[in-house]
Amino acid sequence: MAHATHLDTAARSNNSLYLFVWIWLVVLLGVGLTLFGLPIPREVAVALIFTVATIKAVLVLRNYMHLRHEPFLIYLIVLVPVLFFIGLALALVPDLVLRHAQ
Amino acid sequence: MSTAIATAADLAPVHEHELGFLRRYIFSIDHKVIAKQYMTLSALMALIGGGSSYLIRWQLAWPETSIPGWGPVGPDNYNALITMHGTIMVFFVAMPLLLGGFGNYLIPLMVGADDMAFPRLNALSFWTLFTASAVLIASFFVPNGPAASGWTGYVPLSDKALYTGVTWGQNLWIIALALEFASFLMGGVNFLVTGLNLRTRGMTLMRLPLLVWLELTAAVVFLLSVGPLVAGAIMLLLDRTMGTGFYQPDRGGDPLLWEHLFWFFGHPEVYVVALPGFGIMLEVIPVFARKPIFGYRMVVYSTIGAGLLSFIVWAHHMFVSGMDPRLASPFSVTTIMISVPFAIILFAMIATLWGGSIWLASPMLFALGGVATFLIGGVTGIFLGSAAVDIVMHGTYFVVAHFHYTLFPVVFFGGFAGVYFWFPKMFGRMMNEVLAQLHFWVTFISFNLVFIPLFLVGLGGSPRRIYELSSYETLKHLQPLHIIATLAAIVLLIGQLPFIINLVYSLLRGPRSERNPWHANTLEWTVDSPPRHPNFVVPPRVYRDAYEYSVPDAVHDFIPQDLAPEEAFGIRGVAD
Amino acid sequence: MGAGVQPILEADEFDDAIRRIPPGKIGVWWFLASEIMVFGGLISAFVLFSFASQGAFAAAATHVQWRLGAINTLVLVTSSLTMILALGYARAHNLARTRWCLLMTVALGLTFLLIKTVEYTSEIREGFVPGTSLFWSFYFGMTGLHGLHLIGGIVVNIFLLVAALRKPAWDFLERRIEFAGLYWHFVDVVWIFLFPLLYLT
Repeated sequence: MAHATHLDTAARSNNSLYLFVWIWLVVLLGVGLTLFGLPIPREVAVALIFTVATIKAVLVLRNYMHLRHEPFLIYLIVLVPVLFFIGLALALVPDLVLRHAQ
Repeated sequence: MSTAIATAADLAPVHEHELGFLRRYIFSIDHKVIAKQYMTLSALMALIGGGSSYLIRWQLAWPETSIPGWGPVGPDNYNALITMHGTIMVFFVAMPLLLGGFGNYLIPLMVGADDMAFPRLNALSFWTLFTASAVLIASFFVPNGPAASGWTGYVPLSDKALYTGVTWGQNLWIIALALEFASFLMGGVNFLVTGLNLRTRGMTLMRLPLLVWLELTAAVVFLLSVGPLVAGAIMLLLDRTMGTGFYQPDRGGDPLLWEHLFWFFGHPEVYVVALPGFGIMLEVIPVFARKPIFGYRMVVYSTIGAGLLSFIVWAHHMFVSGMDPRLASPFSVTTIMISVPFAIILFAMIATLWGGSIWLASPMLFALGGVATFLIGGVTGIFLGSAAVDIVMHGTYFVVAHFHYTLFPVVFFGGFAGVYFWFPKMFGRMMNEVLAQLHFWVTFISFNLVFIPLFLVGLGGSPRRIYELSSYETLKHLQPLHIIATLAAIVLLIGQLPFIINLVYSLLRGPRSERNPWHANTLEWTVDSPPRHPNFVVPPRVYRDAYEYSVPDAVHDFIPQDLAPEEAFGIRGVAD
Repeated sequence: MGAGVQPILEADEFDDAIRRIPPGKIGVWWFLASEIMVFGGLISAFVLFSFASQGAFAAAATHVQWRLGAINTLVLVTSSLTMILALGYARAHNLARTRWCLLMTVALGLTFLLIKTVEYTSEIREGFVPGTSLFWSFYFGMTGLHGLHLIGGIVVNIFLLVAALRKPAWDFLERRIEFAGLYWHFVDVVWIFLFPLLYLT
């Protein structure tokens, strides 16, 4: 039973972290929606909304997916593909963006 | 703890699983059985792939004739033939053989594990590929025939039935590829987890046999490159079935998007095929030169470097596609850069031979043949990597010859080297060396006679993917070259008969093989031929890397990875 | 000791760190890496076409129902919470709460799909189909692919729920919930980006 109690305590502290993160996720959702409705230039709004989305994603990755505690290799497994597809997107800008916009 | 290695005779019969025939041979989860299933599938698909090359070559040499054993081939059929030849060879012959076959068989054995990390996933990955093959074969029989837009599936040929007349066939092609990708994704995950997490004690990363390094790199490269093409294939399927316009300019889309997405995957894909082929050569050459591999670390770093670089060269396939010309220079530079790590790997193989005690058995012949022919392929790749040259050479037979001089060496020379080398381990019998040597020489000579003429045809200005060239005045003088290539191709195909005969005969009646007939160091040679269940009665303990050959003061001219130093250097005088 | 004898090395730190990761966990991460490339490819294409569309995408996007999308985001984010709580309770060996959390996760996932179906139906009724314009092609394509992934996650979670309804070995259940959770959170992260991309631009 003492073992179960120990587990309970550890779980409870983790669970409160998870709840805390969830509250932030909901708050940030609200922030994003507010930015959407504000009368600010579209580009600025979009940039800010994306920043918010990225923060939310990082929160989920670090806390729910435990990236904070995982070895370096797992960070790499997440980071490298992200860098790759950003690279792909950049390489496609001349053909897909600059050409169409003419 | 005794360091004596248990022999088969010492062991009481291990608990034999009472699995029925289905569970043991069909739906097996044993990596060794699954590997053989992959190889069998690869061989069967190779018959179709090779058969299609016969038809293609005959059509080119003697257009407008009826091909013996088949009939006439018109332009639509020709396009379907080249499409299916390419698709089958890359996705259903090369990858199942080199990755599904050799990777599955050898990675657990070489790292000292009893099976892959996820045996049932392994079985699932094979059966997914089997389903993919069935879908692709089915596409031959649907109305309007199989896909005919090239293995590269460029839009709008593949986007609209209007251009090729193909309807169901192209959809099935997409689905077959999607299943194939899923299969190798599952396999790739298995390889990576097994190779990184299931290594036995003492098997540090820098003691891994090079084949494992190359298979793991191939797995990562495949894993990371296939995603955008999956996205692209979904978009293509939606264009074809749901009226979207991702690739249609009049709907706001862009055909170049397909090319970018395809080649972003397609280029790393050819290295996914090449790296395991090199891995086989890198295992065979030290054994048959009785010398350590030259520059192990450099080979490892070059492999990783090549894997990384492979992601930033793709647009060299698109120099004349109409893409932004400013992309030409950077991609030329990166393409030329990528020749460096491959050159290092090839030089390492050649330098290993220097001063070695060379034994020209059939595995070695094929490995060396692969090195020699790949050199030609690699060098011609450098020519094509320069945008200025490529503008003239793109879409000609020069390119066809180039990529056959890279793919054929790694897949077939590397693959045959692997078959002849590991057949004793897999089946417990030796193959016939005379037939093997005959197989090598016929293959090597005829292969070169097929594709050297095609370099000349390309330099003469002949475009590829055209079903007959006799109506072009400026190309007429090249026709004799086509005839030479076709005659050589027929010899090449017939020349595989010694191999098939050898294979079947040796499976049934070959002389029994000992555990380590080639006196090699890697862990698979420390277990029975064929290995029992489990692979390793006691998990091996590794003391050194895999290339300790001809070490001074050692009892023998090879020191297996798991041999304790006292035994290796004769303190106890234990003979193997 | 002659040349070629190397000292018996134990695994070095890097090797050891890798080998201590449970195979199932790192297997899921490798798989997620390839999934990042799939969605990354689609998202990249969407973003680029959006920039090139000179307002056409933004105009089309005004017909997307952002309120329903926002509710769905809330639903999915909450399902991530219940999923991770399931893991927390599993680690604390609290079977009742583990089951509840898994059930809630499945329920929230199904709610998401329901709302999505409502959205699709109303959009199709208004005449917006995948072929209507490039924006709509991406909208249906991306949310469709995401939805398929969500269905996969729901199926896995149902299997876990069924397993948890019997008396499971905790070790087995904890690990499976963790791996399923990684996949589930990934699907959530994809939506965290899809929502602003499709609904808020």
